[in-house]
Amino acid sequence: MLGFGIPTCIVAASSLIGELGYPKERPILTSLFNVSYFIGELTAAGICFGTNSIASNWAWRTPSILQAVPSLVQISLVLFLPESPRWLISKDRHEEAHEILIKYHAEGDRDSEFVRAEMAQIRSTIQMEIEASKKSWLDLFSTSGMRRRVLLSTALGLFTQWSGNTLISYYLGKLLKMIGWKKATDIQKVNVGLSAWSLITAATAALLVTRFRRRVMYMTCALSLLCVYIGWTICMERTMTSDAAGHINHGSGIGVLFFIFAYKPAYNIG
Amino acid sequence: MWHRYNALTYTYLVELWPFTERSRGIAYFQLWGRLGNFFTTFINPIGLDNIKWRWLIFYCCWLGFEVVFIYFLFPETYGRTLEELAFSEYGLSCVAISTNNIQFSRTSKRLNGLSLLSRRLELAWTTTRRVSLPWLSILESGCRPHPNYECPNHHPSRRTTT
Repeated sequence: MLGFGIPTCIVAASSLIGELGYPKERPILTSLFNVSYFIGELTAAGICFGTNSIASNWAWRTPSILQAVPSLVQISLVLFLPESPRWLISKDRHEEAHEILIKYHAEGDRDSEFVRAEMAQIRSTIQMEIEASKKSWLDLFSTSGMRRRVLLSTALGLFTQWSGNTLISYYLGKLLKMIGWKKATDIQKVNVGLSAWSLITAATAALLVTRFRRRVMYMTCALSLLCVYIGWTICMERTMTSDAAGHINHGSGIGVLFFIFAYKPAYNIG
Repeated sequence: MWHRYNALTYTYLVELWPFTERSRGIAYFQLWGRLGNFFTTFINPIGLDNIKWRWLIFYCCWLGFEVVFIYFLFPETYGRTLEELAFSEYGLSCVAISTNNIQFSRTSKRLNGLSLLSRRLELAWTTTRRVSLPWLSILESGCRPHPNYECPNHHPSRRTTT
């Protein structure tokens, strides 16, 4: 039940940020949107770490109750959010859209040429889009351009989950046990370290999106992930083979840990 | 935990989908992301328990496939406004700027394929770091489809005129 609302929030929020953002800054804003996930992850990890030591049932009750806080903040602040100017224009509410653009893209300058041009561009584009759209899910398959986007979205969906990241996020403990790290606190420490490291690298990557082309970033991401995985596989094999032979290979164990950490910046670029 | 490719995912999705289909497109992406996540979560322990480190080889192969897929199929969306992107890959028409008017040039079949997706439109607003205003005012004064503007593929009967 808990997961029901999240996709809706993600779809609405990413679209709103993209459609409201100043063109020059839009890519950074939509990228930071995804990065902010790690802030939540770190906070959650910290809270759980703290409440672990509580002896009573409040050990699990406290984090569960605190989960409501971000939603309450969201519910109370959502009313103050400006609407997407593109949505307003699609509903023929041009005046309101113009006001929003003046306020957020021109610092209140009513004669801004930039905003007038933006209005013209958005109006003509959305008008033509609406004329072509049947407002149904079948639109996604109506033209070759659309089918191409569907293919790309499918690929992106799978790539974001099948790039080996779930191995680290869900089975880190299992992996570390395979290379001989058996203490629970050690695993927790690695986990927290990874979260913080992810936040740093992802935020850096998000601030770089206006400097590099998308294809360059995606290719760097996929190629470096491939290199990391090949290195990781080799270290893993060395460690487990020597383990089976009865002696411990410290070097390759550290190698595995290195590649787990090296994986994060590589993954976060894309 | 719900990790995804990080810096670019939503930037890219917002740029990929035009306004009318944006929410549907991102929702569709979410569907595949969740399915992919669901699947690997169950497969990973089976792989690790049974074939140990060899399970990582599966990901090496899959990542190799990703490299090839991205190289051949991912379009470049860098440095354009959402409106320019809507047309360049919409399968409707592409926007090209002429000296004193904006014109929606004819779409050729070629433009719907690979060449369009990686093609750079010669617009003044080519990089996000250098926004130049003159072409925007041109756009405002004469934003009309070109007389030769070709109709969308699925509306063969309708012809837009100025």
